[in-house]
Amino acid sequence: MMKGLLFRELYLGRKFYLSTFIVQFITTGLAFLVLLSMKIGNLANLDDSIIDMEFFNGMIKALFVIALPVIYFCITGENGVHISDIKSKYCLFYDTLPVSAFQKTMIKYIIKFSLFVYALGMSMLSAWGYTVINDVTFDRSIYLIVLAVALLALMINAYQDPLILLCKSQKAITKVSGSIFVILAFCYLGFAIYMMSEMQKYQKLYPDDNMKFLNDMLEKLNFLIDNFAIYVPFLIIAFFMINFVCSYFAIKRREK
Amino acid sequence: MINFENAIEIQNLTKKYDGFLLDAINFHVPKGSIMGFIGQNGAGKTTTIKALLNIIKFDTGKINILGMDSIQNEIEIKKQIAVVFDELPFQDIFNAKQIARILCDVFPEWNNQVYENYLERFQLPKKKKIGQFSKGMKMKLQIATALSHNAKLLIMDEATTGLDPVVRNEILDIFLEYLQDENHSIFMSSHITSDLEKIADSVTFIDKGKILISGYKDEILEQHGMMKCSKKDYQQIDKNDMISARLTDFGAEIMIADKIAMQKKYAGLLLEPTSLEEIMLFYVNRSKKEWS
Repeated sequence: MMKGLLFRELYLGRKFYLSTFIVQFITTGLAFLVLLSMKIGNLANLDDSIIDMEFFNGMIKALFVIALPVIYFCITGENGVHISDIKSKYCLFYDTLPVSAFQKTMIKYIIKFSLFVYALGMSMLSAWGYTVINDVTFDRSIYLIVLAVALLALMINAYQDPLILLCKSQKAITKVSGSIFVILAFCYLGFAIYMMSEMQKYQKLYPDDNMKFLNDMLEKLNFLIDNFAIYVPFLIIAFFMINFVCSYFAIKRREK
Repeated sequence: MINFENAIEIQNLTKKYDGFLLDAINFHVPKGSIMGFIGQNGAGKTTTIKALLNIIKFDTGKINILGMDSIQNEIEIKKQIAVVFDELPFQDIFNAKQIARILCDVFPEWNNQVYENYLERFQLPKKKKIGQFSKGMKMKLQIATALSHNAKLLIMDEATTGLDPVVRNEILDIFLEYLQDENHSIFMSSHITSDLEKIADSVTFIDKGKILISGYKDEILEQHGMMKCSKKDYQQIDKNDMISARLTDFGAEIMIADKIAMQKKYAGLLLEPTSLEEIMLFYVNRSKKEWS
C-alpha cells in the first residue's frame, strides 16, 4: 500500500534531497582532501613554521560543522512536499483515499527517519575519518557536536512538523517555520538571564573569588558533556516518538 | 457483500460554521442512478461532499455510503469510491504512468489494463508531464484514474466546470457507460444544469444550507412550470401559488410548483415547461418573491 505513496514523496523532494547531499559531500570531501594533503600530500611537505596546523585543523572542523545542517535539512525537506501538496490540492484528494492517518504518518516518517539516519551516519563517518587522518585517538568534541546538532534538529522538528501539517497555506507554514527563531531567541534570552542571576548570586556569596562562578559553570558543563553521549540516543528516540505522535494527531484532526 | 438500496443516504446532517449552517439535510441516492447536486456558490455543496467523505466532522446526523456507516467504515468505503474534483490533484511534474504507480498500491482493485485502455481511448500520453496537459486532458486523466479501480460510487465535485462542450459531452457519455452496471452510482455536484438535465436521474437543490427540492428529475420538471403573463394579469395571481416571479417591462415570469393545479386555476395564462436552471434561479429568489 505504501510503496506508491513513498515513491510520490521521494520523487517530489528529490531535487532538494540531492542538493543537500551534494553540499554534504562537497564540504566533507573538501575537508578530507585538505587533511589528506596535510598527511601525505603537498601540505605534508611544507615546513611547520610556514603553515599553522592548528589553523588548518580549526578550518577543517569548521568544514565538517558546515555539513551538519544537512541533518536538519534532511528532516525538514519533507515539509516542502507538504507545501507543494497544499498548492496542488493533493491534500484534499489524499483525504479521499483509503489510507489511514497512521499510514499517512508512517509514510512521512519512514522518509524522515531514513534521511536522518543517513545524514547522521555520514556526519559521524566524517568525524571518524577526521580523527583517523589526524592521528587523534579520540576527538570527542566533534562527535558531540554532531549529536548535539542532530538532537537540536529533532527538537525543532518536534515543534514544527505537527504545526506545519495543520497549515492550509504557504503563508501559515512560513509563519510556523519563522517562529522557531523567535523561540530560540527567547531560549537564549532566558539562558542569559539565568547566567546573569547566577553570576550576581556568586558575587554576593564569594566576593573574593572571581573564578568560582566560571569554575563551577565549567564543572557543570563538563558533567553534561561527559554524560551527553550516554543519554543522547534515548533523547533522539524520544523526540522522534514525540514528533511521530504529534504529527499523527495533526493528520487525524479534522476540520472544525 | 452488503445489500443496500441507496448508494448514499444522508439523514439530518447538520454542520455549523461561523455565518453558515448546513441545516438538517436529508436525501438519498438510489443505487444504479445518477444524482445531480445543484446549488449556487456557497450553498453548501462542497461542505456536504466533505461531510460525506469524512473530511470534516459534522455536528449531527448520519451518513451511509454503499450501506456502510461513513465514519465507522471510512477506509472500507474509500476503497470502493472514487472522487473527482474540478482540478487534477497531482503536481505538474508527474506523468500518467507515475500516477498509476502511485495509485495502484492504494486501491486493492486497481486494474492497470483498464487504466491503460482509458488512456488510449482518451488519447492521453503516458510519459508527458501533466503540467503540459490541457484542462480537458487533465479531467480525462482524473476520470481514467477514477474508473480504474472498480469503484461502485463516483463522487464528482464540479468536475465538468471549465470544460468545452465537446469534452463535456464525451465525459457525460462515459458516465452513462459507467452506469450500465446497475451496481454503479454517481453523485455529481455542478453548476451546469444542462449537463444534469442530460444524464441525471434525480436532482437535489441546495440553497443556503437547506435542501429546497430533492427527487426524480423528470418529476420535478413535470411538476414545475413557467407562467407568463402581463402586468395586469400578474395582479390577479395569488402570491402563495408562486415560488417567485421575475418582473420585466412587459409582464412577469412566474415559477409554479404544481403545474396541473395552476393550469386549472389560471386557465387563461400561458404555462410553459421549464428547465433545471430556471427552477434553481427562481427558488434561490423565493424569499424576495418578486425580482428582476
